[in-house]
Amino acid sequence: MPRFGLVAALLGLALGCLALGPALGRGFTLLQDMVFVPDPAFSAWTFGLAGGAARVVPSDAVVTALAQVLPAELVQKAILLGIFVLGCSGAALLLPAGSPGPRLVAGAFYVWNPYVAERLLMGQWALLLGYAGLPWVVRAAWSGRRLAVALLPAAVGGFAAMTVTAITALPVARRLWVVAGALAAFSLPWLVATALRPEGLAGDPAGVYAFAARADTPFGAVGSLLSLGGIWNAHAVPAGYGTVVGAAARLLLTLAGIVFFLRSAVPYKRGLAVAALAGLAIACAGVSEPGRRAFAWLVEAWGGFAVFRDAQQYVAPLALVAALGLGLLVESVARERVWLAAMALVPVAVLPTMAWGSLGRLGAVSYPAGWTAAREVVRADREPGDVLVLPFESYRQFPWNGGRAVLDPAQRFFAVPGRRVVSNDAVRVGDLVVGSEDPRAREVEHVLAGPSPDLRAAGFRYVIVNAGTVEERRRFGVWLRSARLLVDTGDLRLYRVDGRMPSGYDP
Amino acid sequence: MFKILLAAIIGVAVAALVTTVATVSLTGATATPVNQPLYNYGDR
Repeated sequence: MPRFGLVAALLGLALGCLALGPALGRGFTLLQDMVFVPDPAFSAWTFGLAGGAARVVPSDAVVTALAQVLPAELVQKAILLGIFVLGCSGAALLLPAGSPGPRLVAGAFYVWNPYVAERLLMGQWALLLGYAGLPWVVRAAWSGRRLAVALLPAAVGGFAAMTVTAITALPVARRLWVVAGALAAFSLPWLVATALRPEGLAGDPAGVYAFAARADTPFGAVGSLLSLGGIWNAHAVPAGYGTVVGAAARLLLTLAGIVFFLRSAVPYKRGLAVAALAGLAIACAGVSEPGRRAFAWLVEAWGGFAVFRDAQQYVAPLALVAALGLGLLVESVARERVWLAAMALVPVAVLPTMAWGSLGRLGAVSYPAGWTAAREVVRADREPGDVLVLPFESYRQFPWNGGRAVLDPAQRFFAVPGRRVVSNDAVRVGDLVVGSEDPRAREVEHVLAGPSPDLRAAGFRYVIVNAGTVEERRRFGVWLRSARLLVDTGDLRLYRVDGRMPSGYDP
Repeated sequence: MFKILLAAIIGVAVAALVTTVATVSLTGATATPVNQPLYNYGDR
Protein backbone atom coordinates (compact mmCIF):
# COMPACT_ATOMS: atom_id res chain seq x y z
CA MET A 1 0.00 0.00 0.00
CA PRO A 2 1.45 3.40 -0.94
CA ARG A 3 2.30 5.86 1.84
CA PHE A 4 -0.87 7.88 1.34
CA GLY A 5 -2.85 4.65 1.70
CA LEU A 6 -1.43 4.30 5.18
CA VAL A 7 -2.23 7.93 5.98
CA ALA A 8 -5.79 7.41 4.73
CA ALA A 9 -6.08 4.27 6.87
CA LEU A 10 -5.01 6.30 9.91
CA LEU A 11 -7.56 8.99 9.01
CA GLY A 12 -10.20 6.27 8.78
CA LEU A 13 -9.15 4.95 12.17
CA ALA A 14 -9.43 8.43 13.69
CA LEU A 15 -12.86 8.99 12.13
CA GLY A 16 -13.92 5.54 13.29
CA CYS A 17 -12.90 6.33 16.87
CA LEU A 18 -14.79 9.62 16.66
CA ALA A 19 -17.90 7.99 15.18
CA LEU A 20 -17.99 5.04 17.55
CA GLY A 21 -16.98 6.85 20.75
CA PRO A 22 -18.57 5.05 23.71
CA ALA A 23 -19.10 1.92 21.62
CA LEU A 24 -15.35 1.32 21.98
CA GLY A 25 -15.71 0.98 25.76
CA ARG A 26 -15.82 -2.32 27.61
CA GLY A 27 -18.73 -4.56 26.65
CA PHE A 28 -20.93 -5.13 23.62
CA THR A 29 -22.67 -2.67 21.35
CA LEU A 30 -26.25 -3.87 21.00
CA LEU A 31 -28.38 -1.75 18.72
CA GLN A 32 -31.11 -2.70 16.26
CA ASP A 33 -29.68 -5.50 14.07
CA MET A 34 -26.22 -5.42 15.67
CA VAL A 35 -26.00 -8.36 18.05
CA PHE A 36 -22.76 -9.81 19.34
CA VAL A 37 -22.56 -12.17 22.31
CA PRO A 38 -19.74 -13.44 24.52
CA ASP A 39 -18.41 -16.94 23.77
CA PRO A 40 -20.74 -17.62 20.83
CA ALA A 41 -21.26 -21.24 19.80
CA PHE A 42 -21.80 -22.70 16.36
CA SER A 43 -25.30 -24.01 15.74
CA ALA A 44 -27.56 -24.75 12.79
CA TRP A 45 -28.75 -21.14 13.01
CA THR A 46 -25.19 -19.84 12.52
CA PHE A 47 -25.17 -21.49 9.10
CA GLY A 48 -28.69 -20.46 8.12
CA LEU A 49 -30.01 -24.00 8.50
CA ALA A 50 -32.51 -23.40 11.30
CA GLY A 51 -35.48 -22.41 9.16
CA GLY A 52 -35.22 -18.64 8.82
CA ALA A 53 -33.74 -16.66 5.94
CA ALA A 54 -29.95 -16.94 5.63
CA ARG A 55 -29.34 -13.33 6.69
CA VAL A 56 -26.53 -14.13 9.11
CA VAL A 57 -24.60 -16.31 6.64
CA PRO A 58 -21.65 -16.29 6.69
CA SER A 59 -21.14 -13.22 8.92
CA ASP A 60 -22.15 -14.99 12.13
CA ALA A 61 -19.98 -18.00 11.35
CA VAL A 62 -16.96 -15.73 10.79
CA VAL A 63 -17.62 -13.85 14.04
CA THR A 64 -18.09 -17.12 15.92
CA ALA A 65 -14.83 -18.48 14.49
CA LEU A 66 -12.91 -15.30 15.37
CA ALA A 67 -14.42 -15.34 18.86
CA GLN A 68 -12.78 -18.73 19.47
CA VAL A 69 -9.38 -16.99 19.52
CA LEU A 70 -10.29 -13.44 20.62
CA PRO A 71 -12.85 -12.09 23.09
CA ALA A 72 -16.07 -11.49 21.11
CA GLU A 73 -16.30 -7.86 22.23
CA LEU A 74 -12.86 -7.19 20.71
CA VAL A 75 -13.97 -8.90 17.50
CA GLN A 76 -16.93 -6.53 17.34
CA LYS A 77 -14.82 -3.41 17.92
CA ALA A 78 -12.22 -4.55 15.37
CA ILE A 79 -14.92 -5.07 12.75
CA LEU A 80 -16.53 -1.70 13.40
CA LEU A 81 -13.21 0.15 13.26
CA GLY A 82 -12.18 -1.93 10.27
CA ILE A 83 -15.16 -0.58 8.32
CA PHE A 84 -13.82 2.96 8.68
CA VAL A 85 -10.21 2.03 7.97
CA LEU A 86 -11.08 -0.08 4.93
CA GLY A 87 -13.56 2.41 3.50
CA CYS A 88 -11.41 5.50 3.95
CA SER A 89 -8.24 3.95 2.59
CA GLY A 90 -10.11 2.25 -0.27
CA ALA A 91 -11.74 5.46 -1.50
CA ALA A 92 -8.43 7.31 -1.14
CA LEU A 93 -6.54 4.74 -3.18
CA LEU A 94 -9.23 4.55 -5.84
CA LEU A 95 -9.00 8.26 -6.64
CA PRO A 96 -6.49 8.91 -9.44
CA ALA A 97 -4.94 11.99 -7.82
CA GLY A 98 -1.31 13.00 -7.77
CA SER A 99 -1.22 14.25 -4.20
CA PRO A 100 -2.59 12.87 -0.94
CA GLY A 101 -4.88 15.80 -0.01
CA PRO A 102 -7.72 15.07 -2.46
CA ARG A 103 -7.50 11.39 -1.64
CA LEU A 104 -8.01 12.12 2.05
CA VAL A 105 -11.03 14.31 1.30
CA ALA A 106 -12.56 11.48 -0.74
CA GLY A 107 -11.78 8.96 2.01
CA ALA A 108 -13.22 11.16 4.76
CA PHE A 109 -16.49 11.72 2.92
CA TYR A 110 -16.85 8.06 2.05
CA VAL A 111 -16.91 7.00 5.70
CA TRP A 112 -18.61 10.06 7.19
CA ASN A 113 -21.93 10.56 5.47
CA PRO A 114 -25.65 9.89 6.15
CA TYR A 115 -25.45 6.41 4.61
CA VAL A 116 -22.83 5.23 7.09
CA ALA A 117 -24.48 7.05 10.01
CA GLU A 118 -27.92 5.57 9.36
CA ARG A 119 -26.75 2.04 8.62
CA LEU A 120 -24.61 2.15 11.75
CA LEU A 121 -27.65 3.18 13.77
CA MET A 122 -29.52 0.28 12.14
CA GLY A 123 -26.73 -1.94 13.42
CA GLN A 124 -26.05 -3.33 9.94
CA TRP A 125 -22.35 -3.90 10.30
CA ALA A 126 -22.35 -6.72 7.74
CA LEU A 127 -23.74 -4.43 5.03
CA LEU A 128 -21.25 -1.72 6.02
CA LEU A 129 -18.43 -4.22 5.67
CA GLY A 130 -19.45 -4.68 2.04
CA TYR A 131 -19.80 -0.90 1.66
CA ALA A 132 -16.26 -0.43 2.97
CA GLY A 133 -14.98 -2.93 0.44
CA LEU A 134 -16.70 -1.27 -2.56
CA PRO A 135 -13.79 0.99 -3.61
CA TRP A 136 -11.44 -1.99 -3.44
CA VAL A 137 -13.84 -4.04 -5.57
CA VAL A 138 -14.17 -1.26 -8.16
CA ARG A 139 -10.40 -1.06 -8.37
CA ALA A 140 -10.05 -4.82 -8.71
CA ALA A 141 -12.93 -5.23 -11.18
CA TRP A 142 -11.48 -2.50 -13.37
CA SER A 143 -7.87 -3.60 -13.22
CA GLY A 144 -8.60 -7.33 -13.14
CA ARG A 145 -6.21 -7.82 -10.21
CA ARG A 146 -6.79 -9.11 -6.67
CA LEU A 147 -10.52 -9.46 -7.15
CA ALA A 148 -10.84 -12.31 -4.64
CA VAL A 149 -9.16 -10.31 -1.87
CA ALA A 150 -11.26 -7.24 -2.64
CA LEU A 151 -14.47 -9.28 -2.43
CA LEU A 152 -13.69 -10.75 0.98
CA PRO A 153 -15.37 -8.02 3.12
CA ALA A 154 -18.61 -8.30 1.13
CA ALA A 155 -18.39 -12.09 1.16
CA VAL A 156 -18.16 -12.03 4.96
CA GLY A 157 -21.05 -9.57 5.11
CA GLY A 158 -23.43 -11.89 3.29
CA PHE A 159 -26.36 -11.40 0.97
CA ALA A 160 -27.05 -7.66 1.35
CA ALA A 161 -23.37 -6.73 1.12
CA MET A 162 -22.87 -8.99 -1.89
CA THR A 163 -25.93 -7.66 -3.72
CA VAL A 164 -24.80 -4.05 -3.28
CA THR A 165 -21.32 -5.11 -4.39
CA ALA A 166 -22.66 -6.90 -7.46
CA ILE A 167 -24.62 -3.84 -8.57
CA THR A 168 -21.46 -1.76 -8.21
CA ALA A 169 -18.93 -4.18 -9.68
CA LEU A 170 -20.70 -5.56 -12.74
CA PRO A 171 -21.01 -2.27 -14.70
CA VAL A 172 -17.36 -1.47 -13.90
CA ALA A 173 -15.96 -4.88 -14.81
CA ARG A 174 -13.68 -5.18 -17.81
CA ARG A 175 -14.05 -8.95 -17.86
CA LEU A 176 -17.69 -9.34 -16.98
CA TRP A 177 -17.80 -13.13 -16.73
CA VAL A 178 -14.79 -13.31 -14.45
CA VAL A 179 -16.33 -10.76 -12.06
CA ALA A 180 -19.77 -12.38 -12.27
CA GLY A 181 -18.21 -15.78 -11.57
CA ALA A 182 -16.31 -14.46 -8.58
CA LEU A 183 -19.44 -12.79 -7.19
CA ALA A 184 -21.38 -16.03 -7.58
CA ALA A 185 -18.63 -18.08 -5.94
CA PHE A 186 -18.38 -15.75 -2.94
CA SER A 187 -22.17 -15.81 -2.59
CA LEU A 188 -22.28 -19.59 -2.33
CA PRO A 189 -22.52 -19.73 1.50
CA TRP A 190 -25.87 -17.94 1.62
CA LEU A 191 -27.03 -19.26 -1.76
CA VAL A 192 -26.53 -22.86 -0.62
CA ALA A 193 -28.21 -22.19 2.74
CA THR A 194 -31.15 -20.65 0.91
CA ALA A 195 -31.35 -23.52 -1.56
CA LEU A 196 -31.48 -25.99 1.35
CA ARG A 197 -34.57 -24.34 2.84
CA PRO A 198 -37.31 -26.98 2.62
CA GLU A 199 -39.99 -24.42 1.91
CA GLY A 200 -37.96 -22.56 -0.71
CA LEU A 201 -37.72 -18.84 -1.07
CA ALA A 202 -40.67 -16.80 0.09
CA GLY A 203 -40.94 -13.07 0.58
CA ASP A 204 -43.66 -11.08 2.32
CA PRO A 205 -44.75 -8.18 0.07
CA ALA A 206 -45.54 -6.22 3.24
CA GLY A 207 -41.78 -5.75 3.55
CA VAL A 208 -41.78 -3.60 0.40
CA TYR A 209 -44.12 -1.11 2.07
CA ALA A 210 -42.45 -1.32 5.48
CA PHE A 211 -38.86 -0.89 4.29
CA ALA A 212 -39.27 1.52 1.38
CA ALA A 213 -37.06 4.62 1.47
CA ARG A 214 -38.61 7.58 3.31
CA ALA A 215 -37.97 11.29 3.51
CA ASP A 216 -35.75 12.21 6.42
CA THR A 217 -34.99 15.73 5.21
CA PRO A 218 -37.28 18.56 4.07
CA PHE A 219 -36.40 17.69 0.45
CA GLY A 220 -38.64 14.65 0.11
CA ALA A 221 -37.72 11.02 -0.37
CA VAL A 222 -35.72 11.49 -3.56
CA GLY A 223 -33.88 14.52 -2.13
CA SER A 224 -33.11 12.48 0.99
CA LEU A 225 -31.77 9.62 -1.12
CA LEU A 226 -29.62 12.00 -3.15
CA SER A 227 -28.20 13.21 0.18
CA LEU A 228 -27.37 9.52 0.89
CA GLY A 229 -30.02 9.32 3.63
CA GLY A 230 -33.66 8.28 3.34
CA ILE A 231 -33.63 5.18 5.52
CA TRP A 232 -37.03 3.75 6.42
CA ASN A 233 -36.53 3.61 10.19
CA ALA A 234 -36.98 6.77 12.25
CA HIS A 235 -34.78 5.33 15.00
CA ALA A 236 -31.82 5.17 12.62
CA VAL A 237 -31.69 8.90 11.85
CA PRO A 238 -29.00 10.96 13.63
CA ALA A 239 -30.12 13.67 16.03
CA GLY A 240 -30.81 17.12 14.59
CA TYR A 241 -30.79 15.64 11.10
CA GLY A 242 -33.88 17.46 9.88
CA THR A 243 -32.66 21.08 10.01
CA VAL A 244 -33.06 22.82 6.67
CA VAL A 245 -29.54 24.24 6.64
CA GLY A 246 -27.95 20.90 7.54
CA ALA A 247 -30.01 19.02 4.97
CA ALA A 248 -29.21 21.63 2.30
CA ALA A 249 -25.50 21.38 3.09
CA ARG A 250 -25.49 17.59 2.77
CA LEU A 251 -27.44 17.71 -0.48
CA LEU A 252 -25.13 20.40 -1.89
CA LEU A 253 -22.08 18.38 -0.95
CA THR A 254 -23.34 15.21 -2.60
CA LEU A 255 -24.49 17.01 -5.74
CA ALA A 256 -21.16 18.82 -6.05
CA GLY A 257 -19.37 15.50 -5.77
CA ILE A 258 -21.60 13.84 -8.39
CA VAL A 259 -21.13 16.74 -10.85
CA PHE A 260 -17.35 16.76 -10.52
CA PHE A 261 -17.17 12.99 -10.86
CA LEU A 262 -19.19 13.14 -14.08
CA ARG A 263 -16.95 15.93 -15.41
CA SER A 264 -13.82 13.94 -14.69
CA ALA A 265 -11.82 11.58 -16.86
CA VAL A 266 -11.36 8.75 -14.37
CA PRO A 267 -11.08 5.47 -16.29
CA TYR A 268 -14.00 3.68 -14.57
CA LYS A 269 -16.29 6.76 -14.76
CA ARG A 270 -18.92 5.31 -17.05
CA GLY A 271 -19.26 2.00 -15.24
CA LEU A 272 -19.43 3.52 -11.78
CA ALA A 273 -21.91 6.17 -12.96
CA VAL A 274 -24.14 3.40 -14.35
CA ALA A 275 -23.87 1.54 -11.02
CA ALA A 276 -24.77 4.67 -9.04
CA LEU A 277 -27.74 5.36 -11.32
CA ALA A 278 -28.94 1.77 -11.06
CA GLY A 279 -28.62 1.87 -7.28
CA LEU A 280 -30.51 5.16 -7.07
CA ALA A 281 -33.23 3.80 -9.36
CA ILE A 282 -33.70 0.77 -7.09
CA ALA A 283 -33.79 3.02 -4.03
CA CYS A 284 -36.41 5.25 -5.68
CA ALA A 285 -38.58 2.33 -6.81
CA GLY A 286 -40.42 2.18 -3.50
CA VAL A 287 -40.87 5.92 -3.15
CA SER A 288 -44.10 6.12 -5.17
CA GLU A 289 -47.26 4.08 -4.67
CA PRO A 290 -47.19 2.56 -8.21
CA GLY A 291 -43.53 1.67 -7.66
CA ARG A 292 -44.30 -0.05 -4.37
CA ARG A 293 -47.19 -1.96 -5.93
CA ALA A 294 -45.01 -3.16 -8.82
CA PHE A 295 -42.23 -4.12 -6.43
CA ALA A 296 -44.64 -6.00 -4.15
CA TRP A 297 -45.96 -7.90 -7.20
CA LEU A 298 -42.39 -8.92 -8.08
CA VAL A 299 -41.75 -10.15 -4.53
CA GLU A 300 -44.94 -12.19 -4.63
CA ALA A 301 -43.92 -13.65 -7.99
CA TRP A 302 -40.48 -14.66 -6.70
CA GLY A 303 -39.31 -14.20 -3.11
CA GLY A 304 -35.73 -13.50 -4.22
CA PHE A 305 -36.71 -9.95 -5.15
CA ALA A 306 -37.15 -9.27 -1.42
CA VAL A 307 -33.41 -8.59 -1.34
CA PHE A 308 -34.27 -5.18 -2.83
CA ARG A 309 -36.98 -4.29 -0.31
CA ASP A 310 -34.72 -2.23 2.00
CA ALA A 311 -33.95 -0.18 -1.07
CA GLN A 312 -32.05 2.76 0.47
CA GLN A 313 -28.99 0.55 0.92
CA TYR A 314 -28.46 0.60 -2.86
CA VAL A 315 -27.36 4.26 -2.87
CA ALA A 316 -23.94 2.92 -1.75
CA PRO A 317 -22.31 3.32 -5.21
CA LEU A 318 -23.68 6.89 -5.32
CA ALA A 319 -21.82 7.57 -2.06
CA LEU A 320 -18.63 6.37 -3.74
CA VAL A 321 -19.28 8.58 -6.76
CA ALA A 322 -19.85 11.62 -4.53
CA ALA A 323 -16.75 10.90 -2.45
CA LEU A 324 -14.52 10.57 -5.52
CA GLY A 325 -16.07 13.70 -7.05
CA LEU A 326 -15.31 15.74 -3.94
CA GLY A 327 -11.76 14.50 -4.06
CA LEU A 328 -11.52 15.60 -7.69
CA LEU A 329 -13.04 18.98 -6.81
CA VAL A 330 -10.25 19.77 -4.36
CA GLU A 331 -7.57 18.77 -6.88
CA SER A 332 -7.48 22.42 -7.94
CA VAL A 333 -6.22 23.37 -4.46
CA ALA A 334 -4.17 20.23 -3.94
CA ARG A 335 -1.13 22.19 -2.76
CA GLU A 336 -2.96 24.53 -0.38
CA ARG A 337 -3.11 22.83 2.98
CA VAL A 338 -5.64 25.19 4.58
CA TRP A 339 -8.21 24.50 1.88
CA LEU A 340 -7.53 20.78 2.04
CA ALA A 341 -7.83 20.64 5.82
CA ALA A 342 -11.07 22.61 5.72
CA MET A 343 -12.53 20.35 3.02
CA ALA A 344 -11.50 17.21 4.90
CA LEU A 345 -13.50 18.50 7.87
CA VAL A 346 -16.58 19.42 5.82
CA PRO A 347 -18.14 15.89 6.00
CA VAL A 348 -17.96 16.04 9.80
CA ALA A 349 -19.32 19.61 9.88
CA VAL A 350 -22.42 18.77 7.84
CA LEU A 351 -23.16 15.71 9.99
CA PRO A 352 -21.77 16.51 13.45
CA THR A 353 -24.24 14.34 15.35
CA MET A 354 -22.72 11.20 13.87
CA ALA A 355 -19.85 11.80 16.31
CA TRP A 356 -19.42 10.06 19.66
CA GLY A 357 -21.55 7.09 18.83
CA SER A 358 -24.24 9.37 17.35
CA LEU A 359 -24.32 11.26 20.64
CA GLY A 360 -24.35 8.15 22.82
CA ARG A 361 -26.85 6.07 20.89
CA LEU A 362 -24.06 3.58 20.29
CA GLY A 363 -22.81 2.38 23.64
CA ALA A 364 -21.20 -0.67 25.19
CA VAL A 365 -22.82 -2.82 27.86
CA SER A 366 -22.22 -6.16 29.55
CA TYR A 367 -24.77 -8.93 29.55
CA PRO A 368 -26.39 -9.42 32.98
CA ALA A 369 -25.17 -12.27 35.19
CA GLY A 370 -28.58 -13.94 34.92
CA TRP A 371 -28.09 -14.47 31.19
CA THR A 372 -24.74 -16.20 31.72
CA ALA A 373 -26.14 -18.36 34.52
CA ALA A 374 -29.06 -19.45 32.34
CA ARG A 375 -26.75 -20.29 29.46
CA GLU A 376 -24.59 -22.49 31.66
CA VAL A 377 -27.65 -24.47 32.68
CA VAL A 378 -28.84 -24.90 29.08
CA ARG A 379 -25.40 -25.86 27.77
CA ALA A 380 -24.71 -28.36 30.56
CA ASP A 381 -27.95 -30.27 29.95
CA ARG A 382 -27.76 -33.25 27.58
CA GLU A 383 -31.50 -33.97 27.48
CA PRO A 384 -33.13 -33.11 24.15
CA GLY A 385 -35.51 -30.21 23.71
CA ASP A 386 -35.51 -26.72 22.30
CA VAL A 387 -35.44 -23.28 23.89
CA LEU A 388 -38.38 -20.90 23.56
CA VAL A 389 -37.83 -17.17 24.04
CA LEU A 390 -40.70 -15.09 25.39
CA PRO A 391 -42.27 -12.60 24.81
CA PHE A 392 -42.68 -13.89 21.27
CA GLU A 393 -41.54 -10.64 19.64
CA SER A 394 -38.34 -10.06 17.70
CA TYR A 395 -37.04 -6.79 19.21
CA ARG A 396 -36.35 -5.74 22.78
CA GLN A 397 -35.58 -2.59 24.74
CA PHE A 398 -33.69 -3.90 27.76
CA PRO A 399 -33.16 -1.49 30.70
CA TRP A 400 -29.61 -2.88 31.07
CA ASN A 401 -28.94 -1.81 27.45
CA GLY A 402 -30.00 1.77 28.09
CA GLY A 403 -33.40 1.13 26.50
CA ARG A 404 -31.83 0.82 23.04
CA ALA A 405 -33.94 -1.19 20.64
CA VAL A 406 -32.18 -4.39 19.63
CA LEU A 407 -32.96 -7.68 17.93
CA ASP A 408 -33.31 -10.15 20.79
CA PRO A 409 -29.77 -11.50 21.43
CA ALA A 410 -31.16 -14.74 22.95
CA GLN A 411 -31.01 -16.52 19.59
CA ARG A 412 -27.23 -16.16 19.52
CA PHE A 413 -26.55 -16.06 23.27
CA PHE A 414 -28.21 -19.41 24.04
CA ALA A 415 -27.12 -21.14 20.84
CA VAL A 416 -25.89 -24.67 21.43
CA PRO A 417 -25.43 -27.56 18.97
CA GLY A 418 -28.38 -29.92 18.89
CA ARG A 419 -30.85 -27.52 20.49
CA ARG A 420 -32.83 -24.90 18.61
CA VAL A 421 -33.50 -21.51 20.12
CA VAL A 422 -36.87 -20.38 18.79
CA SER A 423 -37.76 -16.72 18.83
CA ASN A 424 -40.08 -14.71 16.66
CA ASP A 425 -38.59 -13.30 13.46
CA ALA A 426 -41.67 -11.34 12.37
CA VAL A 427 -41.02 -7.57 12.34
CA ARG A 428 -43.59 -4.98 13.32
CA VAL A 429 -43.28 -1.61 11.60
CA GLY A 430 -46.01 0.69 12.78
CA ASP A 431 -49.25 -1.06 11.83
CA LEU A 432 -47.54 -3.40 9.39
CA VAL A 433 -46.28 -6.86 10.28
CA VAL A 434 -43.65 -8.37 8.01
CA GLY A 435 -44.38 -12.05 8.47
CA SER A 436 -42.08 -14.69 9.90
CA GLU A 437 -39.82 -16.55 7.47
CA ASP A 438 -39.24 -19.44 9.86
CA PRO A 439 -41.90 -22.21 9.66
CA ARG A 440 -41.13 -23.31 13.22
CA ALA A 441 -41.71 -19.77 14.52
CA ARG A 442 -45.04 -19.69 12.69
CA GLU A 443 -46.03 -23.01 14.30
CA VAL A 444 -45.07 -21.73 17.73
CA GLU A 445 -47.04 -18.54 17.18
CA HIS A 446 -50.06 -20.72 16.53
CA VAL A 447 -49.39 -22.77 19.69
CA LEU A 448 -49.00 -19.62 21.82
CA ALA A 449 -52.29 -18.23 20.54
CA GLY A 450 -54.14 -20.79 22.69
CA PRO A 451 -55.12 -20.14 26.34
CA SER A 452 -52.85 -22.84 27.80
CA PRO A 453 -50.12 -23.82 25.33
CA ASP A 454 -48.55 -27.27 25.72
CA LEU A 455 -44.89 -26.27 25.31
CA ARG A 456 -43.53 -29.76 25.93
CA ALA A 457 -45.66 -31.14 23.13
CA ALA A 458 -44.29 -28.33 20.96
CA GLY A 459 -40.75 -29.67 21.57
CA PHE A 460 -39.48 -27.26 24.21
CA ARG A 461 -37.41 -28.17 27.25
CA TYR A 462 -36.50 -24.61 28.27
CA VAL A 463 -38.35 -21.32 28.24
CA ILE A 464 -36.59 -18.01 28.65
CA VAL A 465 -38.52 -14.89 29.63
CA ASN A 466 -36.23 -11.91 29.17
CA ALA A 467 -38.71 -9.04 28.82
CA GLY A 468 -42.40 -8.31 28.86
CA THR A 469 -45.08 -6.17 30.40
CA VAL A 470 -46.49 -7.01 33.84
CA GLU A 471 -49.54 -8.54 32.20
CA GLU A 472 -47.42 -10.64 29.82
CA ARG A 473 -45.23 -11.95 32.64
CA ARG A 474 -48.30 -12.91 34.63
CA ARG A 475 -49.64 -14.81 31.61
CA PHE A 476 -46.33 -16.62 31.08
CA GLY A 477 -46.33 -17.53 34.79
CA VAL A 478 -49.71 -19.23 34.32
CA TRP A 479 -48.50 -21.11 31.24
CA LEU A 480 -45.40 -22.28 33.10
CA ARG A 481 -46.88 -23.03 36.52
CA SER A 482 -45.88 -26.70 36.31
CA ALA A 483 -42.36 -25.90 35.00
CA ARG A 484 -39.27 -25.60 37.22
CA LEU A 485 -37.90 -22.10 37.64
CA LEU A 486 -34.10 -22.53 37.46
CA VAL A 487 -32.86 -18.95 37.15
CA ASP A 488 -34.81 -15.98 38.43
CA THR A 489 -33.21 -12.56 38.22
CA GLY A 490 -34.72 -9.20 37.45
CA ASP A 491 -33.38 -9.46 33.91
CA LEU A 492 -34.26 -13.02 32.99
CA ARG A 493 -36.15 -16.12 34.05
CA LEU A 494 -35.25 -19.62 32.87
CA TYR A 495 -37.84 -22.37 33.17
CA ARG A 496 -37.40 -26.07 32.49
CA VAL A 497 -40.38 -28.01 31.19
CA ASP A 498 -39.82 -31.61 32.33
CA GLY A 499 -41.30 -34.66 30.67
CA ARG A 500 -40.82 -36.80 27.60
CA MET A 501 -40.24 -35.21 24.25
CA PRO A 502 -43.01 -35.69 21.70
CA SER A 503 -42.53 -38.55 19.26
CA GLY A 504 -40.88 -37.40 16.05
CA TYR A 505 -38.93 -34.64 17.78
CA ASP A 506 -35.95 -33.72 15.59
CA PRO A 507 -33.71 -30.89 16.82
CA MET B 1 -13.92 29.75 -9.74
CA PHE B 2 -13.16 26.50 -7.92
CA LYS B 3 -12.16 28.46 -4.84
CA ILE B 4 -15.49 30.29 -4.86
CA LEU B 5 -17.30 26.95 -4.94
CA LEU B 6 -15.09 25.53 -2.20
CA ALA B 7 -15.63 28.64 -0.08
CA ALA B 8 -19.39 28.29 -0.57
CA ILE B 9 -19.30 24.62 0.46
CA ILE B 10 -17.22 25.40 3.54
CA GLY B 11 -19.50 28.31 4.43
CA VAL B 12 -22.64 26.20 4.15
CA ALA B 13 -20.95 23.43 6.13
CA VAL B 14 -20.12 25.83 8.96
CA ALA B 15 -23.71 27.09 8.93
CA ALA B 16 -24.94 23.49 9.06
CA LEU B 17 -22.64 22.76 11.99
CA VAL B 18 -23.85 25.78 13.94
CA THR B 19 -27.52 25.09 13.16
CA THR B 20 -27.34 21.41 14.05
CA VAL B 21 -25.43 21.95 17.30
CA ALA B 22 -27.76 24.79 18.30
CA THR B 23 -30.86 22.71 17.48
CA VAL B 24 -29.68 19.68 19.41
CA SER B 25 -28.43 21.78 22.36
CA LEU B 26 -31.49 23.97 22.67
CA THR B 27 -34.22 21.44 22.02
CA GLY B 28 -32.47 18.26 23.07
CA ALA B 29 -33.72 17.08 19.73
CA THR B 30 -33.41 13.50 18.84
CA ALA B 31 -34.36 12.50 15.33
CA THR B 32 -37.11 14.63 13.84
CA PRO B 33 -37.99 12.42 10.93
CA VAL B 34 -40.72 13.00 8.46
CA ASN B 35 -43.19 10.34 7.48
CA GLN B 36 -41.30 7.35 8.82
CA PRO B 37 -42.59 4.13 10.29
CA LEU B 38 -41.41 2.90 13.64
CA TYR B 39 -40.74 -0.49 15.06
CA ASN B 40 -43.46 -1.24 17.53
CA TYR B 41 -41.55 -2.29 20.63
CA GLY B 42 -44.39 -1.79 23.07
CA ASP B 43 -43.14 -1.86 26.65
CA ARG B 44 -40.47 -4.43 25.98
